[in-house]
Amino acid sequence: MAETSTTLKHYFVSSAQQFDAAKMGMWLFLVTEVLLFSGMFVAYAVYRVWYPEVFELSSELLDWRLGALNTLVLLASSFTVALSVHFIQRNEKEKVVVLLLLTLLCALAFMVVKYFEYTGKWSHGIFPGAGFAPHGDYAAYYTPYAPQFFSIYFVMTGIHGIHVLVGMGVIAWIVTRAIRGHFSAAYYTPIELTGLYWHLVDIIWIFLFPLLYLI
Amino acid sequence: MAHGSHHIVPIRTLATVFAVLVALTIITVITAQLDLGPLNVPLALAIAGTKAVAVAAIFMALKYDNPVNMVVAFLGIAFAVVFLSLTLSDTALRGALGIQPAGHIPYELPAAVHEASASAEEPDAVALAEQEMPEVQEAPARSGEALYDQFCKTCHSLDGSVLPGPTFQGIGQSRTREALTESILDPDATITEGFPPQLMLLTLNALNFYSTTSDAEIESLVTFLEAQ
Repeated sequence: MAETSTTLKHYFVSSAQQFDAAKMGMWLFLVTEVLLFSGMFVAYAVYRVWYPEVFELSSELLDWRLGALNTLVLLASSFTVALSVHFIQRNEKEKVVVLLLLTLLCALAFMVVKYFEYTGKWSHGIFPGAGFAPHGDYAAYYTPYAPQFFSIYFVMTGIHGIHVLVGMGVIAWIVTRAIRGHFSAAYYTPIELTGLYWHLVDIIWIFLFPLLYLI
Repeated sequence: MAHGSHHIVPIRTLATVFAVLVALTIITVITAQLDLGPLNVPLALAIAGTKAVAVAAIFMALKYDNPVNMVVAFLGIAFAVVFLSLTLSDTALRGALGIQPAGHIPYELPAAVHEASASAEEPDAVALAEQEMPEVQEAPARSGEALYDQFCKTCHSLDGSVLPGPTFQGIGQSRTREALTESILDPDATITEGFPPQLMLLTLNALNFYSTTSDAEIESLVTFLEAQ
């Protein structure tokens, strides 16, 4: 109980109530995240309905193999985060540190793949906004509204990528706390909430992958 | 002990969900290689939706959690659905307003006003209509050069420089009037070597070229091209 009493705020009746309140607060935050991304998904849907041929042609320039690889990497990281919650609930603290480090590694792999995708596009003159000027093999893809497709691609994957970077920062922070022994089966709220955030980032990508790379 | 009451999702369940997620990823990649026509998009979205539900229910433990979190999640999704469906119900059904030439707004007087002005039995209604309604005008025909600037310039240069399409420099000497007309109306009938098929038709359709251009305007565009 000593551990619990150091983390229980005086305005909560019990650590269970505190945990539930924190978790519901996290879910409310995740709703705002869903709504943030929904604006971009709506922009995608509107332009896709208007110019379906342009979207199908333009998406040929995105490499579905890299997109699929990143999907698997993020799914694996979601799995390791879910396992880390499982093991902290069973008080197996060393495994939690290893699993969180694996998650961090997956996130890093995701960003490395994204780096090669972005620089590959830039080297062919595919930029968001007014800088859009594909050349070489890509010149044939300069159709009207292709710039809109790639602006939507860069903004959606860019804001998603920022979420991955933020997630990496938060995970790195809870790894250091886990190493210092801050968490146990009695108190693991930060791991639980970080896990929820990370799963949402995964879910967003689950939709981005088929919409941008496949169809 | 409060935390002791929390449901611990078994490793076996988590591993099964992960395997299902990987399998669904492989399935969506494979089905995307096949052309299922109108089913392409709904199928990909259905698979993505299934994956999202699996992550939310098991990895995020909504299935075992305090139901209030499920309510919060559903509210968020419901708002996103309202946002998406109301926006699409506007943009998908409003027609191609965005491509009208500047200064021209197609407007039909209501039939009742036409009848009133024909019979002239209700002068007040006519006076009101003249006051409030803009006059119906035919769109002024655009010149060949204006059409070139609007639809052709991005891909076809006049000075021989290389753009996504062949240059128009000297095209008046190398092509007959009939060949030029055919190349506009049916771009894929003859393809200049080294340039991609379909691109021009796709582009002109996206710009609503064929639906907004009159025969007379296409004539003047051909005349403009003949002079190059």
